[in-house]
Formats: sequence, structure tokens, C-alpha cells
Amino acid sequence: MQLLIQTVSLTKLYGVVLGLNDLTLNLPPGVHGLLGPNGAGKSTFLKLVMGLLKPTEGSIRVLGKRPWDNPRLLRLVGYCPEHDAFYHNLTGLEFVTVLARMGGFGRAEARRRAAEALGRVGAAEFMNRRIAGYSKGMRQRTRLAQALVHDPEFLVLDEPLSGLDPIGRHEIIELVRSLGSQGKSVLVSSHVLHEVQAVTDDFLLIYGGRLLASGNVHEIRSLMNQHPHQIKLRSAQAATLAHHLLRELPVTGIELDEKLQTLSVRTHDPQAFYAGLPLLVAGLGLPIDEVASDDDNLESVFKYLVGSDS
Amino acid sequence: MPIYEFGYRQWHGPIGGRLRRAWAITAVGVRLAWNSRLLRRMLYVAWTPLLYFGPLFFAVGSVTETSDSRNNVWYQMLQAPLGPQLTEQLSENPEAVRPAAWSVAFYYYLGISQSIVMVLVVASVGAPLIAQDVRSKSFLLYFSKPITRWDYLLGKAGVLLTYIFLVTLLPALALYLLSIGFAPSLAALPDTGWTVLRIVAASAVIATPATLLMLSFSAVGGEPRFASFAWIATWFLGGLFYAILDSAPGLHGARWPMLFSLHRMTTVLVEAIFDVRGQLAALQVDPVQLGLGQPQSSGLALAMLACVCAICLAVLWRRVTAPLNV
Repeated sequence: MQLLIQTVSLTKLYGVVLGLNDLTLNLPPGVHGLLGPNGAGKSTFLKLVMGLLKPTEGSIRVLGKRPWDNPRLLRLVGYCPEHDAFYHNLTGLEFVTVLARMGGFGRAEARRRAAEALGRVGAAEFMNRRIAGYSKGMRQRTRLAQALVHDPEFLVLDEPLSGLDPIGRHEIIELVRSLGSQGKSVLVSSHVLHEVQAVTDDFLLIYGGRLLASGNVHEIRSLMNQHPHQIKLRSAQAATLAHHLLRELPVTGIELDEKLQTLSVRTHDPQAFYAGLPLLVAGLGLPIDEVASDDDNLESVFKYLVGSDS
Repeated sequence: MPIYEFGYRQWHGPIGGRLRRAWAITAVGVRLAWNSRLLRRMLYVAWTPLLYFGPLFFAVGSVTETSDSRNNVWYQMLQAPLGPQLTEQLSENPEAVRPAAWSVAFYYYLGISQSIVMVLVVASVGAPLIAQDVRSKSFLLYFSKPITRWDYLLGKAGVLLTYIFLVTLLPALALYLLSIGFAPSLAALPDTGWTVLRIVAASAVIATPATLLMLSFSAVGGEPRFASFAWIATWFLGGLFYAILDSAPGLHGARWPMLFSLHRMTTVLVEAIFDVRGQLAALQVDPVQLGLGQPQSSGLALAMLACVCAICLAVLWRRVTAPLNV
């Protein structure tokens, strides 16, 4: 089976700044999530995949081919960049048509494909309006459409859900899933765990320019469970609540901020904590204004995994 | 909103070659530039010299077909641009002198009139071409499509060339057709057959360094206003510096001062393409009467412009590759 992406000691330096560090992986075809906090090296990796950057060290192969300066490979790959790169005086349809024509399609075929791709991403309603008047979500859909317009085998999506409303997110998630079920390969980057989890169970975790872990969501969750979870509570009687939490629930530590009336609770057994908390506060009649977990925040997940927060 | 589930249809038709891809970049660039009202006005202005040169060619035709031409108003009109010697010879021997008269007129039209208009058009069209792509990170989208760096540069150059030819080649060809129409007989056609090729060559000589230099400024600056300023400053300050050096005692007529002026080097080459001095020498007409100044080395001008073009290409290649090859 041909690998989707194969890298050996892939390294990218921006002057003296390390963008990607000694990354070695063999990624089979399929839908994969690329997870990492901001500045982790996700976009650098995707640009290396697209041949938009040249590796400083090591090698990368995409669909068995070297991507740098290889326009032939780009016929098989679609790329949705993170940032806007539009001509604002054009309509969405014209913009996607121009990019399709750069793929070598004739004018009529390019226009037909552009309209179809814009329809697929839910942009048909506004595709004849000028991009200058688009909202962030409309621009995101247009970017996605241009990535799809030449029917790529492999889609590289850099933060495709950012700026979209919940309905838009759902539609794009469904679209990526349907592409996966059609046998297309997709690599989706995000810094939000549950976004990528909605698309695929297969993850690459990247942090500080290094590949930290790869696997499915269950493996990552179990890895996370070995580390203390952090839960924030806000209560008018924060000190009293802290006292009872330490005595009656599986808590390993509490930080109290009396000024803000907040508690930062650490626990190794979040399930038991969440099960016991309602009973405790109901029994004592303590008010709780807010309960929030930092563990959906990918930054803290990565801190756990690299051990800087344990 | 519906979620489409019909899937893609694999394309089995032909995929276009590199020129089609570059043309896609050119076409969108031309269209975006056309949105500028200022540019459209400039283009209208760029065609107004035809209001002078059209009657001039009509005068050439009228002088050659009128027996008592010296008292003719058209004869008087030709005295200024062609000088008394050439005008007199034209009225006496139109068949032999017409090619020289046309060459002089086309030299003035392309080398002087249109090349100055071209500077403003290039500043308006060329400045944002690459600078805006750098600023908006459009590079990422361009090069995520199957195009090479050269395709990209060719496409961008195509935008500038289109507009430069709109103010040089196209009106000059229109002027040629007009002058054929004004000629007393179709004998003018074989007499001036080479003029079309000369117009094409002169337009190319004007357009090529201008295109490459402007694109380089656009690529280096990353800011359209800087690129415009650099281009106009290079053109006009170079010309001014040349004029100062050329008028300095002991330097008048020296070869090297023209190397500072893009405009002077271009006019020297346009002059050579139309063989203005050669034709005037054959007719024993003094070029100074026509305001042509001291003769300059066209070989030196060509070599210098070739160097400028080569440097610009190197800069462009480096700049277009650099954002991707940090």
C-alpha cells in the first residue's frame, strides 16, 4: 500500500527558529487529524506537505512523490490555507474559477467545477457576490471550495472550521466525512480537540515542532487520564467549598482565589469527582455559579503529555 | 442548506498546458487592473497622441500627392517634426523618401510620446502585481495549484505586457493602418512593409525591460506604493541625471551617461530599430535638425538593457521563491 505521507527526520528552520524538528512518520491513506496548540508547527508541516516550503533537513514524500517544486503532484492534492488570500474585487465563483483554470481546466469546465465545488461547501447562495463583502465563514467556505475544485485525491485542510458557525461546522464536518467515505485522504489541522474528533479518530499530536504522539482518540484519552485533570469552580463560598472538597472527594490539590471566588481543583479521577460534586453541594447547600474543565483545552492536554504540568 | 452527496466526477478530458495556466493568471490580473478608473483614464489619454500623429501621416500623404505642395498647409505642418530638408525631399521624391519620413514619425511616436505614457500605465498596473500577493499570502494559493514559479512570473508579466502593448503596439499598428489609408497609392504598402515588424520590435524593446523592472520593484518592496515610487523615480531621475551629465562640459555626446537613463537607452534602440539615422544619412539630412542629438551606441544600450533584464529576472526568481524557501 502506498503511504499518504512519509517523512524521515523532517526538519524546518526559519532562520534560527525551529518550525519542525526531526519528524519521522509513515501515514497511511485515510482521514487524519493534526492536532497541536498554536505555534506547534502544524501549518509548517502542512506547507511542507504541499511543497510550499522546502525542508531544511530530512525528507518528505507525499503519495510517493517529493512535493517541493513538483506541480504534477499538486494535481492530486487540494489545499485550504489558514489565511485569506483573495482578490476582493472578484466574486467567489470567479475566484474559484480562476484557481481551477490554474489547474489546467478550460474556461467552461473550470466554471462548472467552481460552481459545483461552491455548492458542495454551501456557498452557492453567495457565490455571485463580491468577496469583499463576505463574512469570515463565507470566506472559509470559498477557501474550501477552491481546494476541492480539481477533484484532489488528497485534501490538506489548515484549520478549516475556524470562523464557521455551528451549522457551518456541522456541514463541513459532514463534507470531510463524506470525502473520507469516498476513499479520499484528508489531513485536517486544528488546535481544538473536539473539532478534529468529530471528523476522525486518527490523530497526530504535534507540539513544539515535534511529533508528540499518534494514534486514535481512545489512546489519547487514556493517556490523558493518567494525568491530573484540572477543574475550575466559582462559588460565593469558595473557601468552605474547598474545605469540603478536600475532605470528601478525590482531589489532589486546590488553589483558592478568594478575590475572584474561584477554585482550581486537580483530580486523578474526574469521573468520581463529577459524580460526587452535585451530591456534596446539594447536601451542604453551597452555591456554585460555574463549573468548567480546562481539559478540553488542547494546550493543557499537551502540557500533560510533555510533563510540564504534572 | 442542503449537504451535497453526489460526489465528484473524475475528469477524463484534457488538462491544459503551462501557457493556459499562465494565461489564467494574466487574465485575472488584466481584469482586476481594468477595475481602476484611473487606469482607464490613463489609457484614454495614452491614445490621444494619435490626434497629432494621425494628421501628421495624412500630411505626409497630402504632400506627396499635391503638385504645388510647398504652398500646401500640410507641407507647412510637416516642417516642424520632419524638418525643412526632409519635408522638401519628401515633396520632390515621395517614393524614395516616404520610408524615412515614416520611420522618423514612428520613432517619435513610440520612442518619445508613448514610452512616457507607458511609464504611468506601468506604475499603475505593475505595482500591486506581486506586492499584493506577498502581502495577502496569495502565494500559498497560487503554488498549491499545479503551476511553476516561471508560470507565475509569466502570468504576471503578461498583465503588464498587455497594458504596455495597449499603449504602444496597438495604437502604433492603428497608426500604421491609418497612414496606409492616407497614402496616395497602395505603393506605400511595399515601401513601408518592414515598418510593421519594426513597430513590433520597438514595442518589445520598450515593454520588456519596463515589465521586468516593475515586477522586480513590486516583488522586492512588498508595498505597491513603494514599487510605483521606485519605478517612476528610476525612470525620471535616471533621465534627469543623464540630461545633466550630457549637458556637462566635456561629456556631451559621451557614450556612458546614457547608461543611467532607461528612457535614453530605450530610445537609442528604437531609433536603431527604425534605422532613423541610416535613412537620414542616405538622404543627406542632418539628424540634429530633427532633434535626435548625438548618436549613441545601440550595442551598448542593448547590452545594458540585457543586463538590467537579467538582474531583474534573478531578483524575481529569488523573491518569488523566497517566501516558500525561508
